Amino acid sequence: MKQLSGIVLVVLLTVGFASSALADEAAYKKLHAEAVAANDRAGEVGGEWRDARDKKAKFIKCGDKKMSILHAAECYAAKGDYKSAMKYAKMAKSQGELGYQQVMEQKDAGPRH
Amino acid sequence: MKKMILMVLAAGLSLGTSPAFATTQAEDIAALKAYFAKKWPDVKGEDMANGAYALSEDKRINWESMRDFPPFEDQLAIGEEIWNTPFKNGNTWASCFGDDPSRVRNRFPHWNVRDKKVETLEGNIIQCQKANDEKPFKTKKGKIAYFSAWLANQANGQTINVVVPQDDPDAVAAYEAGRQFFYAKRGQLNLSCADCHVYQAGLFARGNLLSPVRGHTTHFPVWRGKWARSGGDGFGTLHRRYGGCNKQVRAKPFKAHGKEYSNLEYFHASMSNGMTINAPDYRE
Repeated sequence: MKQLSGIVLVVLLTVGFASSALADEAAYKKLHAEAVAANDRAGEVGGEWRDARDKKAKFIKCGDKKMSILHAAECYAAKGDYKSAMKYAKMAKSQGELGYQQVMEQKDAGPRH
Repeated sequence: MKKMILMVLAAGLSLGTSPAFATTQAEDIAALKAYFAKKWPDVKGEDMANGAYALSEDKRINWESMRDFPPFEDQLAIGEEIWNTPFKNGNTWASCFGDDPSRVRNRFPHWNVRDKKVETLEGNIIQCQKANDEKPFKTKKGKIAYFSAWLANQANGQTINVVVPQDDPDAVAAYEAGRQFFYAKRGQLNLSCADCHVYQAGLFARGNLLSPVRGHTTHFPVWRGKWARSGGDGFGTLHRRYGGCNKQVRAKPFKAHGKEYSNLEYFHASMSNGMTINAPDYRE
């Protein structure tokens, strides 16, 4: 009986971890898609920020390399570190949204001296 | 009566917050001249073009010592060689720019009425190469900067006079787009060109003394110590500088000689109207 309980516990834990990882991956993918969309929108009005997703950006470290925020998200996701991946995807999304908002607010910028 | 008061109030508010698009090029230049004259009454005339070196005695001494033995003489010689070397098809640069190299720099930037766009010197150098089936130079540094610097050097002493035809709404729109770019905050640091080169000009950003916008374009392409230290030969075009400035405020830079930077140059160079070309020059 004890052996059976042990097996059941191991199976439950394994299934639990696997479903949690799948949920993390799904959440990350959703956030990543939102980050791409936010930066596409900012890019359309010329408002992208330097470090959000530019291939040349060297801002966040993943492994031995520094890269853009969104590339770092992808790098961490590839390693299975969805916590970090989501953190950076969220940051990239936020930069896209703020870049777009900035352009809208600065549409009528002119001298104030 | 209430409705009337509300209407008057709304009209007043909208006037108070309306963008400054009603000003013309001449008014913009006059306003900047007056602003800097008030800010630095001791900086006279052409000295404004010397930027930080007109404002700091220490920096001026260093700059003058660099000018005694300019670090860019070899690159200027390459620029001259480029002018004198015909294309493979037998044409020369004169086929694009005319015979007199001293009459090239000061024609740019200008409004191209046919294509309805701002043309820049470096943009037209590339265009000329393409038209003659030559491999175009890179857009921001290297040979394009040497050549552009040599052409600018030939024009030294000439007065900048960027013309924005006020009867051409497209030209005026390009100028206004350039002005909007200059005054618009961008990037993660939320800074505009004007924040550094108008409002905070004369103050330090880390170790750098911020230069005033008036006179900026008189001495481009420039040889910068920073660019030399980063593994290059020091030379760069105005659009290289634009890209660098944008990156410094953490904005994604635009393509050199694309619409955004060309319009910006149209406005930016306009602000130095009346000043003389003195290029190339050394900058930190």
